[in-house]
Amino acid sequence: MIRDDMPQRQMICKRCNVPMVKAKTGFRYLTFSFHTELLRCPVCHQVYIPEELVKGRMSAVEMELEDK
Amino acid sequence: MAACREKEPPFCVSVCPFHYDVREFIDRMQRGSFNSAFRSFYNGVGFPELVAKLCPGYCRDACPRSRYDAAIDLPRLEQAALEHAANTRPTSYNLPPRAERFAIVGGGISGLACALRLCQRKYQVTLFEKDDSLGGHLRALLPAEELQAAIDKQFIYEQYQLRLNCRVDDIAPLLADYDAVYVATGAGGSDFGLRWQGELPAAGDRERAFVGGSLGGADTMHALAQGLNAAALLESYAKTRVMRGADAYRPTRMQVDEEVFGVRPPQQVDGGYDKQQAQAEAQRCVSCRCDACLRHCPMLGYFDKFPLRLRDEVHVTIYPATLDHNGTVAQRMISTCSQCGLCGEVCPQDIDLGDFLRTAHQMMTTRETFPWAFHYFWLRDMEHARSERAALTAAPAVPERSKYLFFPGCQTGASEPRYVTEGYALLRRFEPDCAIALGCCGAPAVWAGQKQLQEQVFAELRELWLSLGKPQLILTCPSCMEMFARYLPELPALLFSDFIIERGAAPLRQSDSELAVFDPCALRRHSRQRQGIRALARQAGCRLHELPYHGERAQCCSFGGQIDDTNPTYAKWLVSERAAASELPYLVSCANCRDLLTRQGKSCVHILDLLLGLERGDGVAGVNERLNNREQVKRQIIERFFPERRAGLVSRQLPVSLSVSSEVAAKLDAERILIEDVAAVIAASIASGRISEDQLSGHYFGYGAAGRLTLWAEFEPQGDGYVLYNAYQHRMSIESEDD
Repeated sequence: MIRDDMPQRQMICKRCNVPMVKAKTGFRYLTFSFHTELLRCPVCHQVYIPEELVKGRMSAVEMELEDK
Repeated sequence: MAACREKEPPFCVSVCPFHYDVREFIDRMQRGSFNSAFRSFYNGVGFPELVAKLCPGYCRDACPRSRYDAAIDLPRLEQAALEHAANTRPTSYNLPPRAERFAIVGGGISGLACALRLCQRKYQVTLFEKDDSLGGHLRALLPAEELQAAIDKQFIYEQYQLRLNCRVDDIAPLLADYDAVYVATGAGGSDFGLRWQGELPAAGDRERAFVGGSLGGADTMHALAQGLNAAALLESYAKTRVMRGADAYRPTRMQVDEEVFGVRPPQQVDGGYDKQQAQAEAQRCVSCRCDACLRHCPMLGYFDKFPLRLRDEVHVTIYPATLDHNGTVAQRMISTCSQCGLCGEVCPQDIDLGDFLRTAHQMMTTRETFPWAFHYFWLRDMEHARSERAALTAAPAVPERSKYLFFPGCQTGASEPRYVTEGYALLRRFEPDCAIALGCCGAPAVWAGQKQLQEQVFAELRELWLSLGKPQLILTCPSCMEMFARYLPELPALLFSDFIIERGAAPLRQSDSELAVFDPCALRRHSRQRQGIRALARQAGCRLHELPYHGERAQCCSFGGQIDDTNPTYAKWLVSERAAASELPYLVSCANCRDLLTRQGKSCVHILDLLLGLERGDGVAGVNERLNNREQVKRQIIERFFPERRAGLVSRQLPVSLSVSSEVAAKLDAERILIEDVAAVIAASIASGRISEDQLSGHYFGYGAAGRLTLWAEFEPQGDGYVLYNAYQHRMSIESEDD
């Protein structure tokens, strides 16, 4: 779900002081669960989700699932 | 819902001997599609030339247009279709022949119609006629050639055995020899000793014998129609060996609103219609349908669903046939209804879809699959209004003997604190012992389909009322009024405006504005309140106009049902429609109407502005300001009227100090993000260290749960606090980070 047209950012994990990398992340909404790739810290696994994703694909998926 | 008349046939179809699809015919004639219009007519009547010529037009007597200008001249339209259609040849049915053999006694129009339908279905037909020509009594109505030509035309593609000059004296041999027999010997003809009951065509009292037509007393057109229907009875008998006559035809129970008819006088035309005249006449027809709900309710119009279809979709949603949740088509729709009651008001059967959908909603809400997000914000808002932070019950004298209780509800003070503080001050001048309770009437729970929660809130309100000695309630919110009237009718309730009128007080502010009155949907059943509000506004000098939808027909501003999280597009569209109902500014009596319409750009005066002498700009409090307003109301009421309780006031501090620009604040309001949630997420992120940083901008990102939502904050340390750059939230939750 990470696209090249998103604003440039260079994300690091402040806790572990390492750059965040793309990694599989699980989500759940209502009774559905699924996975996608997001930036995560390779050490503590914290997640970063940019607003563009939240307002875009995630919001669309939420609505679809609500209509199911 | 069983009383819904949506599927009832129009009046013309109901009295037509053929009950053919007149709406379809008219629709095609309106468009000038004479060929397909003719087909519509032809399919229904069997012998179009004969019917067009001979039908007296029972429909004309039934057409409601006759009350306004003139009945639709359907017979002349049928003649026009016949004349202008390019192709009037019968349909040739390419089907294999069938083995069953049927006999028809009587070559009059009923027998011929029966023969026609059976031949079209490729059965073996033998027709017995005692005279030397076909047509029965039609021979006296039409010239011989014309009659024969009309008959022959329909049988061009059909074959049957014709026995002219063949009088049947005893049908026993026929009954033995054929699969079934239709006896249509005409008025005064032989009935062969048969007896029958009920609707024609009927099953005779001898096995295989069926009876219809003028023999049973039918007139020409009905005899023809009965012959067409008889074919189906004979066919059904041949398959099932069960003797069944025609079902009784129930007359229509349709009801149509007067207002759809308008005035559409017919043209004066002698003789047949030309194409344009035919179209014009067809266009006078309104295609009667019971559709008041669809016409007046914006939701039904938006979804384009009639109540019966809605009921079916809701049924499928509640009892989904599929295991993978695909059946729940109506979840969003159930939550989109404003429950405003307009449909019940306009429906001739008083069917209130809001009640139906609310029940469905209650059933659905207990399911795991029902989206919690639809009403989440408003349920949380109600929780705030009922919490220690904003709720209050206070009485000046002996609480158990309060005669009056001011109950302004959860939104009035949130919209404008002075409505509550100055309102209470004014009440106390008249009634020094007037008590006050800040809380919520429970409407959000009702609208969210949360039955248990709603009952809990009502129980607490009842308890409160009893503990104060059963006072008279004074409300400021029409929705509260409707909730109390419906669910707590034993609690006497008046609007603030009613109280002012009762005491003969005058509005504190004069205004000679010209205003259109925007009735809140919640006052639909409260005409005294609506009149009181108008009287007071006039007393203040206002010149009032009515909106097309007013009074009992008030349309919801979009707040009803708290549907905006369920269906934001629809809710936005609704408000803009309401604001556009008049060029004038509005007089409102509900804080929610005021806020929604004002945000839409409509200038509003609230009745409390006039009564309390307040001027408001066109600002609308956002979600954060509303919470603060409620808490400020509680604080001011205590400071001003119950200073002895000052000690109990708790000042709320955010866990971290946050600097928020006005742009960011506006964004938070627009997305319903609470600053206190953002502060909590930032505090938790800092404490746990779970923060990421964008090295290009230097901004920090933290996230955490805000109730059932996941909230993200973009911020930076500044001084001994933080500056907030952005915040956003989502409904889906992130699964454990340990994978």
